[in-house]
Amino acid sequence: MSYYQLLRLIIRGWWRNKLFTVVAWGSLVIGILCVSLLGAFVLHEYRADKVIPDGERILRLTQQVSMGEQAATTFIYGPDVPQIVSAFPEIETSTRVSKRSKVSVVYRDETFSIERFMLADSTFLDFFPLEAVQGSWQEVQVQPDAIALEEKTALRIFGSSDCLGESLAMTVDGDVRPMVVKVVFRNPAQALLSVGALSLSAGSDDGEACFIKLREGTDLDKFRQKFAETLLPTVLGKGHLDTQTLHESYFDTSVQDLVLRHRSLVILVIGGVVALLVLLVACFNYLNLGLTRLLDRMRMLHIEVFAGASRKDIYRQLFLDTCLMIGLAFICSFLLMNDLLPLFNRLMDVELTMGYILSYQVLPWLLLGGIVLAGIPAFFISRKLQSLTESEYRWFYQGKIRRLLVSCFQGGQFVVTLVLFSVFLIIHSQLELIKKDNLRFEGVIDVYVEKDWGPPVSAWMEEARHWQGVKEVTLSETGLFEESMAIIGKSGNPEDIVWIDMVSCRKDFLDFYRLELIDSEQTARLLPATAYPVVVNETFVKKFVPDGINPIGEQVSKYLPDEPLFDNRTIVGVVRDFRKRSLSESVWPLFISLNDVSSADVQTLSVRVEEGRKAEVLKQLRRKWEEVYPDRTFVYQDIGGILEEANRDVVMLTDILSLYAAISLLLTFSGLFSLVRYTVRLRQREIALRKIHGASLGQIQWILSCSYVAGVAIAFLIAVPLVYACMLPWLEHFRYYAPISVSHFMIPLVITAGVIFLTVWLIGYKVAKMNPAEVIKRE
Amino acid sequence: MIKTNNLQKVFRTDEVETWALNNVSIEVKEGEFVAIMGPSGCGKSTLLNILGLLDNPTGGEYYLNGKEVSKYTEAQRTSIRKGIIGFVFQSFNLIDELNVYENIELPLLYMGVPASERKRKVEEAMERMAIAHRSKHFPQQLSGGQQQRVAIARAVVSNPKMILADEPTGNLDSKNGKEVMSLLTDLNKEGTTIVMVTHSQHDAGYAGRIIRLFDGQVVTEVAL
Repeated sequence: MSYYQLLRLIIRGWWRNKLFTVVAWGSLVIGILCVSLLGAFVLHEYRADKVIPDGERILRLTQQVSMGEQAATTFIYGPDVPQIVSAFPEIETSTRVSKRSKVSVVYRDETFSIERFMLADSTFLDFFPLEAVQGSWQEVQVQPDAIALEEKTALRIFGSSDCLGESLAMTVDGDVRPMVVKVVFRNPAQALLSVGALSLSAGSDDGEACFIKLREGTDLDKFRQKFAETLLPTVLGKGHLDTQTLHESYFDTSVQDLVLRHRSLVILVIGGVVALLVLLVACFNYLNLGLTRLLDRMRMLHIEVFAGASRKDIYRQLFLDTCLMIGLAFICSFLLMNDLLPLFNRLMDVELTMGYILSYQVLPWLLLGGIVLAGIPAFFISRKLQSLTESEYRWFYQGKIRRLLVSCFQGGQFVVTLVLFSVFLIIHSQLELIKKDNLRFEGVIDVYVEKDWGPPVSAWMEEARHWQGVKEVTLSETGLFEESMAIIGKSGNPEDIVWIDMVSCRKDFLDFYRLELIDSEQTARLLPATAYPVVVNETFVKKFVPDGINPIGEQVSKYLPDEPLFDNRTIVGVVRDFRKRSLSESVWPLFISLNDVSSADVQTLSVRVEEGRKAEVLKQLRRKWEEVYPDRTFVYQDIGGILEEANRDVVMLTDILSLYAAISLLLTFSGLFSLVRYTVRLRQREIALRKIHGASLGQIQWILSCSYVAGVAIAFLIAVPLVYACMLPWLEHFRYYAPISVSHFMIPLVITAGVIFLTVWLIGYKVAKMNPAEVIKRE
Repeated sequence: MIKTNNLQKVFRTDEVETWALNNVSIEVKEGEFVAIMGPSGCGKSTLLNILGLLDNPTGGEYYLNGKEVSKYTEAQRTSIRKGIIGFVFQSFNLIDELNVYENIELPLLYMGVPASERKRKVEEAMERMAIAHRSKHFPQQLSGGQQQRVAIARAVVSNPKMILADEPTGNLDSKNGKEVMSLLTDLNKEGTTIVMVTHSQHDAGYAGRIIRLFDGQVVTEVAL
């Protein structure tokens, strides 16, 4: 039989079994799509450092700056770098990079904020060669007023990347300086260092990140050991310096870092595991559907044998059918992938491109997966089943070992579904915790003004209170998030550093942020009678006040005598702890000084906006700003999403898992539908005989359902400890987490079991209603 | 054309041993029309499967055109079967995915017959069975009689020397059954050997000889 005739036969076979074909093909498309995207993401991120030329010779210098138990950061003091480099002949070159925040440019009277503006040494390009789309890097390296803009940033400001020579007024840290665009560049797709704009001649004595490049042939491990043993002096003392490879640095999320991008290895591992699980579900589904569909085709294959078809002919036909199905699924999933890539990129905060997915780094893996997916079932099905008769096939499918195999496939699907569903719910609870905490920051916008810029905010804040869309306003010096100070803890040990959040604000600040006073009556009584009232939080009391003592009405200096800042300050209230950082970080002690801040050097206006009216209020704020401070760029901070941003990992995990759990459910239920249909068909005769002997509809439904009840129950027993064992350590790495509850397991069980029973009931009902005499005659 | 000596077929499971054929010795000469009769479970279809090289016997000898074929492998059986033996079944056994023309064409495809010759032979077979006007129809669009005519056309399209028919009228009404039997008789008159399994005494009357089986053994052979 020619391939054309085979193709015709196969396609007609698909058409005749439209439902099976659509379900099998659909699950394959979804399975391949999900696995390809997540697989590409894992490969992309895991190899992010590999795309940097000579990346294996580049090390990042680190200096762990202790911030007590509360946080850690890495920082290299700029002027130290030449000294470090000169101490090691193995170092070829070095570069210092620092990031500036609150950067904006004015072009033709319009202001644009610049994200990720970097200042670096001119050697920066030896480490991270950025592709110049327009212009020459030389000018940026030598001219102090030259700036390089990333292509998308240039497009945003000028509407095109053709902007060489354009002048901009750039505001950095409040200083305005003129700059000229000399280069438009493009970030590499796999960027450890994502740059929005770059200045290469400014140097970065302030320090922040520092990279060194070793000479060719240097033994990396030996150098790192030598470096660690050298104990170079730093401002913090000896032995604080260390090195990290780019790979180590990328996956080190333990420190606060403004320069390099970091990726949580947990997300990568979970992404990889989820991809594997969905692949498993897709494979189980496909195998089950393949075996199921074969029953329909057994008769046809045997007729072909009667007509003279050889074993090779049958083998070729079955193999071609499977390969064609999977090949088409591959093509469709790639077409879909092209459309879904932007969504996936946004979800995962990554920049995957079709070019990357089709590159030598990813495509061979995907093709290998495809060959395995196509080859193994095709080989198994075509080799094993071609010689079986229909009754033997039924036996084959119903025999002990095969039945066990099918049960394992099906049970595996149930386990994966329950696991993904439960994990999703647990992570979702954690997200809910964040959202609940975030309620107090919802709709809040902060605007920051310094005294010498013009009239203070207090002069026009009452006007803002009456704008449309504004719910409430308050005034503080630097808001709730900007100021903190370190002091020595109770032990008196210099290493025992405790950081305190400092807020100086008006009294209505407490109500504005819904801060809950433990004894509000006492606070209300003390407040009018106190000259310098302060409110602290529960953590402050735990850290500094001896156990069992009520600090309300006491002087702060009684507990912190060495800090002049706290002199004459009286504690008038204690607020309950609330979170304003990542759930991984503990709540810091909070010190709120309730002052009249009308005459403060710096003022921050906090505005709470009604839902959906943010743009409108921002427009009014900008208009007012331009009227009051015409020489200053309008800059605001959106506090509303601050917690979600600080807990980005959890948000991302929830997004991935909600998507993949839904897909897994879809695949499982579609596969289940076909499998139940097949199983019921195999038992038609049995059902008819039972009916003849008096079985009721309910009894028949129960007989059909009970194997699935057992399947789901066993899957549940496997899934619960599995989820518990995996998720508890994950939750425990947070300082605060939503505990695992029964509902996290029961909801998936009820939904999964509900859908299963509904499927069995619908299919079983049809069979149970058939005329038993007809069924027996036919069977 | 066909000769069997002490043909045996035993189906064994762990606990039960069933003798489907117990020392069956028969002979069918070229051009003969033989009917095999017997009650259900007497081994008629098993015998037909072995004669049609779809299955191997457990013991005994089977000579087809003078060659002992009982020990042949599946591949050998397939190559001998092509073009020599045609099959007609009670349940027609047409492929639902193929139309009338394509169903009839199927044996020629596996024989590797060139396209132009295939077309000629298929059209001839359709004309002969009076189903040319249904060539583009699919099996489910045909009546039972028409389906069986297509099945016979498929069986004869490669001009086999022998046709094995397993209850060819079992699913047909008397009018269509009579038509099918007339077709088989005509084929036999043209020289095709026919071995037919049937329950119907009436259909067996078309044959030249009746072999009766009981419990896997030949009990009588009657020439008509």
